[in-house]
Formats: sequence, structure tokens, C-alpha cells
Amino acid sequence: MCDWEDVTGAFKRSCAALPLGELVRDPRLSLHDALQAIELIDPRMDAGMDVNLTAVNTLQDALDNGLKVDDFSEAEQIGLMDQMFNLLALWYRGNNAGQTVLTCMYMHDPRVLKCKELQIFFEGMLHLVQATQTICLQASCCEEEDFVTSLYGFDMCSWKPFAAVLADINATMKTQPENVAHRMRLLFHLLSAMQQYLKFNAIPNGLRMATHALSDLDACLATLEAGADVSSGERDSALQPTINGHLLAATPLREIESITTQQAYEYLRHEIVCIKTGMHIFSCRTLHALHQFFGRFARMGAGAFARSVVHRCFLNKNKWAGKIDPGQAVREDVYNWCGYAIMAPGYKPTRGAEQLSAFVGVAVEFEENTVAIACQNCPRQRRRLAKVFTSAATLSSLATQVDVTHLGAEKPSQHHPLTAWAGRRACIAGLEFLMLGLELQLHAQWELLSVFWYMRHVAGWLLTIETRAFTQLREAAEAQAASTSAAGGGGAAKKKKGKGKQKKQKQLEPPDSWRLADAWSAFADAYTLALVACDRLGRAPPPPPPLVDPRIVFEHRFAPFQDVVIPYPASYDLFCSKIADLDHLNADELFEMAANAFGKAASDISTFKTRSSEAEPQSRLDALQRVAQRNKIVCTIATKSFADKPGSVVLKFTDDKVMPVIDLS
Amino acid sequence: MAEEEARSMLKGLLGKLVRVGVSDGRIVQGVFSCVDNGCNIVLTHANEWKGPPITGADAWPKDDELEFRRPIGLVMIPGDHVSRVGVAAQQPQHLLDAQARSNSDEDVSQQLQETLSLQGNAA
Repeated sequence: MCDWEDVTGAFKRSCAALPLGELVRDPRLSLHDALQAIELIDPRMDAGMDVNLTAVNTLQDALDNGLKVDDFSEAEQIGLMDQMFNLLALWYRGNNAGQTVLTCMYMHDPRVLKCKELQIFFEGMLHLVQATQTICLQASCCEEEDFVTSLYGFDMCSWKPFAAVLADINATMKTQPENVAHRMRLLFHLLSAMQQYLKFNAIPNGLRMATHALSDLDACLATLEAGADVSSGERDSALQPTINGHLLAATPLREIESITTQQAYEYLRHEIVCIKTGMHIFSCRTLHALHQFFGRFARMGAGAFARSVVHRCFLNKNKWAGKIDPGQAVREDVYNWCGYAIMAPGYKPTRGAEQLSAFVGVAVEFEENTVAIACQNCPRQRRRLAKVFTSAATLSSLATQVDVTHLGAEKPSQHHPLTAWAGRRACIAGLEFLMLGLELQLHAQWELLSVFWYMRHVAGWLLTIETRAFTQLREAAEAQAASTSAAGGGGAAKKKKGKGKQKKQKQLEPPDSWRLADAWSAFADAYTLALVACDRLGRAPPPPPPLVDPRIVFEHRFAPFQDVVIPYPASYDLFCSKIADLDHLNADELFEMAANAFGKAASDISTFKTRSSEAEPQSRLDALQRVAQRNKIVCTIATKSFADKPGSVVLKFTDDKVMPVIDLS
Repeated sequence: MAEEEARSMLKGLLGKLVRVGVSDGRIVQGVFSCVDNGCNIVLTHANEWKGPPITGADAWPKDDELEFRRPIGLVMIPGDHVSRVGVAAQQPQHLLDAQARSNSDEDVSQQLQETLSLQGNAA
């Protein structure tokens, strides 16, 4: 133990007197040592940092410091309510509950409030937070990075049941001034919707009531104006941003966002719109419809809460969307796609029944995983898709076994129906994987040539498979029509046959997925040709940095595809040889071919838009069409205006991020 | 304060056992190794204590009044978060020895530099 002499004043004066940049240093301390020093009060390095610097640590502290509990003016009530909705939106956006909704002192125990209306409001808010957590935990389709479910063991209004709070809010809002009543109504509708969702399995008209509650909620949010962005002293004293510092782990606090009340209400409204769209899931009857639905939903930019609600609706009562039998849906999908007899309704296999049921089981799991991916956020969708390829390989292997057994084939073939169906699913997942890579702008300019070439490779496989299946289906239908015609006779029979034929012709139109695959194929083709043409003119996108080996990048980028059998894993050598095949064409020819391919893509998208507006969001299709048309014009004029200009061509993504536009400037 | 005087005062503290009060209430004790114009301090062999926040007027707490000792090694304390600085009135013997060795090494190093410089000039 020793005594200490305080030298603070002299020390600080001495430091200030030093010239800027000069260090007074012990020669034993090297630069290498100094770089290893822990910087105190830096949350990224200092685990012992005390973040709880506030004088207010508990609700009791706040009350002792004069936290208001009564005599709130209307402006103060509105300010508090707006702030709570703001915090709720921040929580929904992935911030920690301990840093958002639970920073309001009244949430710690609303019973301290003597203002009855606010007490009821905060009790409702506690139930809302609890219900949100329950739904998100049940869905388990979000991770900590986009939604934090922990409520740190707070008492979420255990003293008053959900229904009683709902009734209290309903009774209170009728007696309040308009602006306060409006916010109470919003909370009431949010709680009603939650209540319906939490129990819609149990009550017969739960879905109708939930949809009704959502409509009310949407209408309420549409007319709500954020009235109190004014600074309110009482509101500020009620919110202690660091109050829950001791709840959080001794890791750096995540910095939370700051949004205005107006933005918070807009965010909540967007979530509601996504959930309302998500309710269309209940109108899906087939696996194909479910895929179309989730393809659209995945691109809505839904938040974690909306995604959880929709995911929970999908996996309900061990059925898909509450009523679709998963195994049956898979069988129907295969049968409708290529008419494979062993998948026909009511078919009882005489051999290989176990293999067939194993295939269906894996297919169900595969489809559920694929759908669950659509309920993830965009970057994770891509990461998860990379893992789906492993189960696609298992699916393909089982499909091959079933095909060999049931067709009595000597050796497996990718053209057998079930193997082709499994390959088709892998191709669709692969295209989605590549598209997400483009949307997330994960690729350098010099990499895009290989990405588009690979996209062409996968889309080409998909088209081949779809064409073969469609041919099989048409041949089967024609054979059936011929046999019916041969068996029939007389006027009445002819009339019936005519009707049947018409019906079959109507059913046998190429599927939507075929048209879209055609468009992707045309897009990928066009970009590949355009980039090779630019290369011919010495204006290709900048080459990779000298230390980057394109072969390694290629193998790394497309590593997930190594798991699937169809399409065959493409190697860098194959890519190089295919690009070398274009050597005999000059730049003009390549640009002309690229312009034609872009024109074809635009026309495919246009046809797709008119025939099947439900499969993809209209705005996305419009954006794709715009990009295709613009690139077509660029390629058409490229050879005249392009050759003399210096610099390299750039592929720029527009705000839509769907596909890049070619920039010649 | 003149530049040279400041430099001399700070150099006098190098290698000594010091305590630094941090703005979040911690006290960090270690061997003073480096400082700059912004009062950013580097301490080696540092330990931190959590205790009641100290203010300028209070005396430094005794060792047995401090709680939760934790060795943290080499640390840099940003000048903005330095609330107090204190130096041990009686330095531990091992630090004094180390200081003496360091001074002697420095002398040897300086002599070597001078010799090399002379040789260079002669050449």
C-alpha cells in the first residue's frame, strides 16, 4: 500500500504544452506494442466499460427524480404515444428491445401512472410487445441480426389479461380527444390483429376476423398524422436510453437507428401491407401457386415481424397454408408438370412404394426449406439458398432411384421425369441464387461476364427440362385424345369429345416458369455477348487486380452448384472455352446479337406480364422491361458511337437493382 | 509552461507507477509509458478497479477501498476520458531497478550511436 500524489493539473498542462504530434514515450514501448493496446471507453475493445452512466437505474430512481405520473396534457399524451410507436417500429426494424421499447420508464410498470388512459395504453403496449415476441418465436424465421426477441424477463402485464386490456382500450378511446383516441384506436387494432393471429388456429372464423382487423389497422394508419414531433419535457424524462444497459450483454452495444415519428408510422404501415399481401397465401391451392406467392412476397421488403406472421400462416396445423397436404401437393405438382403416372392422384405403386414415399418426404422438406428462405431477409436468402443445393442433391439422387425402379430403366438418366423435376427445382433455386447476387451487388465488374455466362448455363438447362416435360405432357394428351376419338362415335359423343379437346388444349399452354426462364436466358445471353463485344473493342470492364486469380474466384462464386447434378457443375475451363467459341464473331456482329437478345428478353417479359401478372411483382417486371429496352438501344448504336471513345464500359445497377444497364459514357 | 519543462516533467514520470481516473468511474493503475499532446496515455501492466466515481477534490482511495480488481495489460486511455492522474509517492523497487537498467541501456545505445556516427564521419 502506498500514498498517491495527485498530479492532474501539472500533467494536463504539460501535455497541452507539447507540440502536436510529439510523443513522450518510454523507449521500451515499441510501435508494435502500442498497436496492441486496448483502448478504454471504446465499446468495440473495452469489455469493462460501464455503459450505465445514467443516474436513473430503476423505475424507483425515476420516480424519485420526479417522473410525472399524473396531469398529462393532451400534447404530452400524444408525444408519449408517438414516441412509443416510434420505439416499437425501431424494435421491429431489428434494434434491441432493451434499447427501444423497454427504455420507456412506464413500460417497467404502468401501474405507477395515475393517468388512467396512459396506464391502459402502456398495458396494451406491453401485451403488444409480448404478442409480437410470441409470433416471432413461433415462426423462428428471423435471427438476432434482424429481430431481437429477448425481453429480459420483464413482466409483460401479467396482472391484467389480454382481453381485459383490449376491452379497457376500447372503452377509453371513446372518451378521449380525437388525436389521443386515434392512437388508442391504432393500438386497439394492432392488438386485435395480434389476438386473431395468435388464436386463428383455434377459432373457425379467425382468418376472416384477422383480415378484418388488418383492414381496420391499415385504414387507421393511413389517416394517422404524426402530431407531436414537438419536444416534450415529460416525454424526455420518461425515456432513459441507457436505462437497460445492465440487461444487455457485456459486449458492445449496437448503435440504434433514429427515425422520425412519421417514418415510424410509414414503416408500420408497410409491415401491415406486407401482412395483408401475405394473407393471400390462404388462396393458394397448389405448390406452384405457393411458389408464385412466395416469389412475390420475398421481394416486398417485408420486415421481420411481417415475415414471421406469413411464415406462421404457411406452416399451420402441419399443412401448408392451413389446408394443403404437403405430400399431396408435391405429387400433384409433378403430375401437372409432366403427367408422370406414378404421381397421379389415387395411384398405388406396385413396387418401390417405400422409395416413392421417401422421395416425397424429402421433396416436402426441400419445398418447406425453399419457402422458409423467402421469409428471410435478402442477404440471408442467398446464404440459405447456397445450403439448399445440398438437399437438392439428395432429392435428385432419390428421384433417380424411383425413376429407375418404376420405369424399369437399365441406367439412370437426367431425362427421366422425376429426376428432371428435381433438376428443375435445383435450376430455379440456382437462378434465384444468381439473381440475388446481382441484387445485392456482390460481384465486381470484371466478374459479371462469368456470372451472366453461368446464368445462361442454368437457364438453358431449365429451358431444356421444361421443354421436354411440356412435350411429354402434350404427347400424352394427344395420345389420350386419339384413344378417346377412336373409342367414340355418333353426334353426341363428337360434341363431348370436342369440348374435352378444347379443355385439354387450354390446359396445355407452356407454364409461366418456362416463359420467365426464357427471359432470364435471353438476358444472360445478351449481357455475355455485349461484354465479349466490349472486350473486342478493348473496352471491357476493368480486369481483376493482379493478385486475384479469376479461376479461384469462379470456383468460389459457384461452389454451391457443385452439389447438384443438374445442371452439371461448370468449371472455369468450360467457361473459357465457351467464351472462346465466340472468337469468330466481330464486335458489330456481337453487338447486333446482343441487341436482338435484349429485344427478345423485353418481349418475353411483356408476354409474361400480360399472361401472368400474379407470379412476379408488376413493378419488378416493369423495371426488367425498361432495362432490356434501354440495353437494346445501347447495343444497337454501340458500334457507331462506341469504338472511338476511351475508357471501359460499366454495368450500372439502377435503383431497382434487378439487372444492370450498359453505360457507354 | 515551456515546451522543454513540460517534456521534462512528463519524461520524469515514464516508467513510474501511476493511477488514472477514467470518466466512467474506473481507476486504472499501471506503468506510465507514453503520452501525447491530447493527453492520451498508454499504461503497461495495467489493472483496473471499479469503485465509486472520484472527483477532483477527493483523495485517492486506498488500495483496500477499491473493488473488482482486474488485470488488463497494455491500455490506452483517451485524453477526453482522463479525469485524474496520480503518481505513487513511493515507487516499487522493481520499477526503480527497471528504470535504472533502461537508463543504462539508453546510455549504451547513445554511446553506440555516437561511435557509429564518428566512424561514419571518419570514413
